[in-house]
Order: sequence, then C-alpha cells, then structure tokens
Amino acid sequence: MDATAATVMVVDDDIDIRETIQDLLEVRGFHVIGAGDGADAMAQLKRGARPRVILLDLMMPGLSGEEFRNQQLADADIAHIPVVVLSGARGVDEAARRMRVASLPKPVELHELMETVGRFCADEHAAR
Amino acid sequence: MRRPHPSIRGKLIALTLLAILAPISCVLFIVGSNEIRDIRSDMVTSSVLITSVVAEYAAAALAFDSRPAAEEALQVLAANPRFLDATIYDRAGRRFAAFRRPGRTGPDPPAVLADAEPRSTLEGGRITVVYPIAQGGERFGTMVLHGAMAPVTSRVHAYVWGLWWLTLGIIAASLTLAWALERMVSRRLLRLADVARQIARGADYSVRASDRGHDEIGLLAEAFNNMLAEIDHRQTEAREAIRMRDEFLSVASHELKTPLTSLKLRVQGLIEHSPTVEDPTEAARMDKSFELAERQVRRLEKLVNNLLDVSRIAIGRFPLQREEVDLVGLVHNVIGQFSAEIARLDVEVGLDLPEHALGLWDPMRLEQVVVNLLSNALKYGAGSPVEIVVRIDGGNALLIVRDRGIGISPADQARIFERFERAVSLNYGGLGLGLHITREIVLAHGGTIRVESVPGEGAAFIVELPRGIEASEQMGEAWTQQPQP
Repeated sequence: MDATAATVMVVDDDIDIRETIQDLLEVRGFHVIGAGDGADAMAQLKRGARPRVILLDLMMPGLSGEEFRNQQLADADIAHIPVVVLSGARGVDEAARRMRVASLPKPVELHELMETVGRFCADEHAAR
Repeated sequence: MRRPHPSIRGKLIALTLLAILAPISCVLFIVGSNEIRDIRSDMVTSSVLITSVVAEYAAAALAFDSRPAAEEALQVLAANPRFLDATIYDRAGRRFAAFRRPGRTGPDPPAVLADAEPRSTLEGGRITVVYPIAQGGERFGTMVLHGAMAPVTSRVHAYVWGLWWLTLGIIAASLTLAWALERMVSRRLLRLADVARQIARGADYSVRASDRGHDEIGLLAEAFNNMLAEIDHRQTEAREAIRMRDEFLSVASHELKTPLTSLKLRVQGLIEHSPTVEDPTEAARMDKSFELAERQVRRLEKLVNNLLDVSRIAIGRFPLQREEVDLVGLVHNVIGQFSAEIARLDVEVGLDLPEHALGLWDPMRLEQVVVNLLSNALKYGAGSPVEIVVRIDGGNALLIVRDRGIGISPADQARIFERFERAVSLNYGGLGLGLHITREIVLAHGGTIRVESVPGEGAAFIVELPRGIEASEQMGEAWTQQPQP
C-alpha cells in the first residue's frame, strides 16, 4: 500500500458493506480502516488514526452515528475530520441536516461514492 | 334526523282516546238511550193515564151535556206544565170543550172522528193521546190530549253535553299523559338517538349517553355505552395495529437496503472493472449478466424505496425539502436516465418544453414524479409515442405526460391513485405504489394531479404545481444548483 495514499475510515455495523467499500476503495488506491461501531471508530481515532474522511452509518447498535459525531466534535484533535453519512432514508436524512454533514443515500451509487470520497481527498493523493 | 312520525306521543294519544273514549261513549250511549226510552214510555203511560181519568169525568159531563162540567174536568191538566192542550169531542165529532195552556202557540189540532180508535203517538216532540169517552158500554165522545216531550229533550241534551265534556276531559287527560310519557320516555330515547347520530357523524367513540335512569331506557343507555366503550377499544386497537404495520414497513424497507447496498456496489464495481475474458462471446455474455444484475438491483431498490415512502406517508413522516428547481432541466435529466430503456423499447419521446420552468420544489421528490409518470407511459404505452409537455401558467407550472397506449377505464381512473391499486392485470409488474406516491408528492407541494384517458386511446397525466416563488420570469440568467456540501 502506497504510504502517501489517502486514508478513509468506514464505520458500518454490516460487515458486507464495510468490506465491499473497503475493496472498492483499495482498488482505487485508497487506504481504508474499518470500524464495526461508533465506539470502535472512536477508539481508533483516539489511538491516532487520522483519516481524510469518515464514512459513517447512522443506524448502528451501541453508539449511534449522531452520538459518535457529537463525541468527535467535542475532541479538538479529531473534530476537523469531515464526515459523510450513509443514510438509509431517502436523500438527505433529517439527522444529517441536523449534523450539518454531507450524506449519501443507501444503496449508494458507486460513482457517487467515489466522487464524494475523491472530493475530500482531492488535495493529496488523487483517486484513480 | 327525521322527526318521529307518528311519534310515541301521537300513538299514545290515539290509543288512549280509542281505549277510553270508545267504551265510555258506548256505555253512555246505551245507558242514555235506555233511560230516555224509559222516560218516554213513562210519559206516554202517565199521559194516557191522566187522559183516561179526565175522560171518566168528561163522560158524565157529556152525558148531561154540561159544558162547564167538561171544562172543569179539563182544568186538572193545568197543574202539569207538560200538558199543552186537550179537547173533548162529542159523539158527532164536534168540539165540546177545550183546554189550552196559556201561551200555547200553534194551530188548533184537527178534529177527530167520533169513533176514532184510541191511540197515542209521538211526533216532533209532542205526544198525542186519543182516548174514547165511554161509560157503561156507551160511547159519548173522544178526548184528545197534546203534551210536550220537553223533559225527554232536555234529558237528551244533558247526555249529549255530558258526553261532550267527558270527551274533552279525556282528550285533556290523554294529552297530559302523553306529555308526561314523552318526558319520561320519548325525550330520553331521542337523546340516545342524538348521541348515536353524533357518533356516526364525527366518528368520535369517546362520547357517551348521559341517561342515568334505572328503568328499561336506563338499561338501554347503559348497554349503549358499553357498546361504545367496546368500539372505542377496538378502534384504538385497530389504529395501533395499522400504526405498527406502517412502522414495520418503514423498518423493513430500511433493513432491506443493507444487503442492497453491498450488492449494488459489487455489481457496479464488476461492471466497471470486469475480469478479462478472452472469448468475445463469453465476454459479451458476462457483460450482459452484469448489466442485468444491475438492472435488477435497481428494480429492487425502487420497490424498496416505494415501500418506504408509502409507509412514511402513512405514518405522516413525509417532509419536503424545497429548493429552486428547474422543471425543464429535471425532465431532461430523467429522459437521460431512461435513454437506454427508450432506445430498447424504440419509443418516440416528444418534448414540448419552454427554456426554463422555475419553482420552489423538492427536487428529489419532483424527479420521482417525472420518473413515475414517464415509466408508466413507457410501460403501458405499448410502444406508442410519448409526449411530455411543460407550461408556465402564471403562478403554476403544468406538467403533462401523455401516451397513446392501452388507456385507463373511467372506473379505474378514480382508483389508480390509491395505495396498492393497479388498473392492470398482475402481468404488468409493480406494487401499484408509484401513482399513490406521486399524488402524495404533488399534494404535499400544494398541487393537483388528474388523469384524462379513453380506453384504447392512451392516457394523459396532468400535474399542476404552484411555483411558490414571488420572482417572475425576469430571472433571465441560467440558474445553477448549489454545490454539495
């Protein structure tokens, strides 16, 4: 894996979704770290992980997407990391609007996913 | 509510009148007529008796041809005011002596023959007694007596008056009884009926009848209230069941998106970077498989989204996010999305669009509407040309999607916008949700949608949307969409 590859964090409780996004992103040259729930994601961030963008599922057991975001914003070290919400509701979820983050509807279009990730990683490694 | 007719009160009045008045009238009538008959026969008897007594005295007077004696005999009659006049006739039928009550008016009674038969007759309120004056077998003359039947008449009047006042009394009594019964019964029953009507009109099952009596009507009211409590309970249960069902639908369709997410991404990934296959036939077959797989994923996605929308509409969570939208641009966009399908079906799509049609709408929902109408036109158009028209009409935008396909019967036209309604056989796929959702979106924007169709000649769906913007068409410059955050 290219050391200067941009890192993307994928937070989703469904393993298939996580692995699929991971595979598709890695093929295009991204480095992907996965987390199965909000608590796991938060732990990794606290340990020093610094992704360029976090793809966040809203509906997760334990720490919900919204709660994760609140905790993230409360920590100055990681508050700057942009979040894109993967939302099962049609279009922009009310929660996403509340959180003032971008959102992608599920099931997500491949090209939309790539464009969005590419945008946040634009000033460093360009996505293939 | 119609007035009770005939009411219980009316029936009671009729009943009491019949039940009380009729028998009493009969009894009175019978008793009365018996008494009157008795009085009459008494009067006849006494008149005949007194005539016979006077005739005895008159016999001697006639025998001795003494007028004064005869007149003196007749004076006996003066004592009884009943007797009006009496005349004694001699053997030859000539008037011998007469008595006439003072003040007696009327013509003189006709002369009678000397050998007239004894008789008594009643005629026009007068009694006439004809009595032979005889003694020792020898006939001296005839006496005629006239009397008034006034007591009888007055007695008859008394009975008639009595009956009249009795009738009046009974009517008054039955009216009073009816009024009392109305208060005790009818009014309470009507109040109960009122409550029932109120409930039927307002579908508010929390209403209760307020009757607190302990009689049969009280029991009726109690049973009525129990029934209402039961209905209320069942209705609450039913509502709850519906709400749970819709919540479930919402959750289920949400859940269905999870497997769809990875499925779609993988299929799209495969299409983008499909493995290299040497044999071109195999390669073509593989490409076709992936494309079909993606199409099916899209179909699944659409069905799931429709289910989600419908359940959200049902539980009231269907918000709009309005932005400035160019309907014309949106139509072009959708045509683009359908380009493959249009080519595949070889359908001619005609566009009659202005340059721009701006409005404050929810772009995603509006796109849903255009997609639904176009997809229906392609599906049921039977290959016929499809026409899409957009017009600006003052504060409204008009969207018409027309096909020349199988059409929709008038009976179905009313139904197709309902949930789960389909105007075609199950051979045409789909859940029947598209038009329902489309209508909900249009209504949520404050617009209207209607269909005009003749079976066999196609259908036109006409959508009218208020534009919701104050600014006029002087917004000449092209408007661009906001960048994604």
